[in-house]
Amino acid sequence: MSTNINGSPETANNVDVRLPQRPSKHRYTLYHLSTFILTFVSYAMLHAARKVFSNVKSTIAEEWSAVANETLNPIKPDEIWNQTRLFHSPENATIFLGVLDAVFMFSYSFGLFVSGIIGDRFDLRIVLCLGMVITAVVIFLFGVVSEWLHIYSVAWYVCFWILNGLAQSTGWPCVVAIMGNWFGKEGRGLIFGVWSACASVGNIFGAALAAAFLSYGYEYPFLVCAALLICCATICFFAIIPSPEDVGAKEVETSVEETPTTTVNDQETSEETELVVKTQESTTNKPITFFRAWLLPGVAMYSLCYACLKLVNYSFFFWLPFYLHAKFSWQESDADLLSTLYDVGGIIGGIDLAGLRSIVVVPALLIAIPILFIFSNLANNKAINGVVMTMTGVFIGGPANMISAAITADLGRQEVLAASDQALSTVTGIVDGTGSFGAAIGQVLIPVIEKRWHDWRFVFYFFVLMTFITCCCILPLFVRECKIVINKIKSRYSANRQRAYDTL
Amino acid sequence: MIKLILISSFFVFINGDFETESLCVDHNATSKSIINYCISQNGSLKFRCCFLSNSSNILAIDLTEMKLNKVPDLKEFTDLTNLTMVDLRLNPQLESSTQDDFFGMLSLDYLYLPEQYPCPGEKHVWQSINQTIDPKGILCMYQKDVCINSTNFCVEPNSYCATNGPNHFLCLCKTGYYGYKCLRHGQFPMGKFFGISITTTIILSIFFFWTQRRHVKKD
Repeated sequence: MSTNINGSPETANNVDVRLPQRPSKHRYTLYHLSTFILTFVSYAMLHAARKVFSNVKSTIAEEWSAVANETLNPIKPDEIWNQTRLFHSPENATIFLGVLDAVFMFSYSFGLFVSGIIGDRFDLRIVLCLGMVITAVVIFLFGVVSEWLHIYSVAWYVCFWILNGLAQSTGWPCVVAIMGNWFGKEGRGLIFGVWSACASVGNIFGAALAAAFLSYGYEYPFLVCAALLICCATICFFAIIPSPEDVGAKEVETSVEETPTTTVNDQETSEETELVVKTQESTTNKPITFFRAWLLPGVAMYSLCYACLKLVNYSFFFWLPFYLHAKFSWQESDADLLSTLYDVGGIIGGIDLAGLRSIVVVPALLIAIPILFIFSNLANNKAINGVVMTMTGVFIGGPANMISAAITADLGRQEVLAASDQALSTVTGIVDGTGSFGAAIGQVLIPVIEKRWHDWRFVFYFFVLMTFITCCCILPLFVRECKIVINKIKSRYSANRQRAYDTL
Repeated sequence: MIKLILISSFFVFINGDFETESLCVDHNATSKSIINYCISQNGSLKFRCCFLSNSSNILAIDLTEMKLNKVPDLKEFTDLTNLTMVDLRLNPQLESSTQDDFFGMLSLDYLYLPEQYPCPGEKHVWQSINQTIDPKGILCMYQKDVCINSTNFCVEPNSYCATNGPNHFLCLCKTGYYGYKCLRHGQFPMGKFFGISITTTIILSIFFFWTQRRHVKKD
């Protein structure tokens, strides 16, 4: 793990090596800016496509079914009110939509493992653009063509939603890998913090798209989404430069990697030193294998931890508007607006100013637990709900964003991988894939829990349990990073003292 | 979709002509009420049916003594908006079915029914209900607008209630709304949207290519 390799002078030798390089580290070019913007917008668009689906659900449920309330006089004329297109009532349609969510998450998590591997072996730009184009086509077929041609078939919807999951999964590993290539560890705390807001920004954008175009018919938000994805993919195709090496710029970290790092690793676990030796032997820039990536220090632990956390995070994403609508019978649009506050909280919480990663994550999650308890017992008051929802976003969505972006990038570019650099995409795929698998299980479990006890509070207790497990999984890493930081402070202190002593 | 409507309406047209012919054959009108009414309105009497002065719209129809057990489904036959008077007396087996009877007969103001058949919607729908002696039956007079009295018929959003014959109503889309369940409003600005997005894409692609990928070194 050791975060301190590039972070600070460890030994006097390191200080000397690093000093001349200092200026180059913080010189961000136009390439950096455009990479940041393009990857941000690309992933935001992909996430917007998901949010659009979740926000037009209630309208789709209406369109797929006949009017539910059969009073004395059924509402006429039949062609306006009583076409049984797919289901007899909107309730049945809603159940099917829940199934679609779960199907999507499972195929997405499976796709992430595969896309991660693909991303390290092919041009990241091509994989990303292709993924976006396929997503756009699938969304177009799912939402627009089916409505225009009146193809209302369960098989059609399920097939295209599975394909959608697979196509969308190319996005995250690719954008993280590109970002990781361009931005060194120094900038990762703040830059990745801001950048990881792309998912939340995408959610907000998707919600806005749905609100703006839903009145023309539910197929138009899908159409707009698909068109914007194609536009975005086209621009990315002509713009993205996957790695600084492609334009001849020397990579920020590779130069640092050549400095003797074994001194630090000696303090670490023995398995790491072994890996370092192994990787240094291989000089080719070969991509890491899927199973080797699992064995990288921290990957398995963070994956497990992210699975639990993403379960909670995505449950909020999928179920919050529905929960608010069901519990307080608020208007759908109000519920959507308030659930956007959760995303805003996620953006705030994801920004890691100090660059401390997991050291911040653990306390944040511990604070989240009482907040979840408070949230489950809130009264019907929009202002209080809004505040608590933002807090939940900060302490659940924030850490989730941090793990998915900054921490994953750290894991994929750790010094253990000095020679074989092509691991970032695979590692991202593993962490996010396991996370999404957890989220998919959550999608199945939540309706079951709610049905079993007829009380949403038990769903929140389940969230608390999951958050607690996340904390437990991350604890060993937390302890290790704490030690490292303490060492860092100690050594800096002693170095300063040494310098002060020298000048005397 | 439009094609389908056209075809089906064409069909109804042929059918309607044919069926009104078959409906208005065989028996001459016997109901005094129908005959008198037809004369007073300057209609042309053709067997059972009274046509509005030389048009194909039926004004009144005599369905007495037809051994009916249900009200014949007239809505397939012809335009019912002008049908003002119907006589169904002397049909002892006639049973009411609230779902379909008199559907779409908007101007039905004189409805003669056999004794066992109550006026559809009773006082809610008819201004006056009287017994008739010869032949024995009930006269339901002057249809009321069902929608005016009740507000809870069309509760679905964006719809309003429109009367559609005695005790029948339609929920139609409010002006501006259309489509299934009246969920749509306005027209998507297709040209504008694609115009803007395609232009922006081309401009940005050229801009980024010029500033970025142009510099990519190929191996």
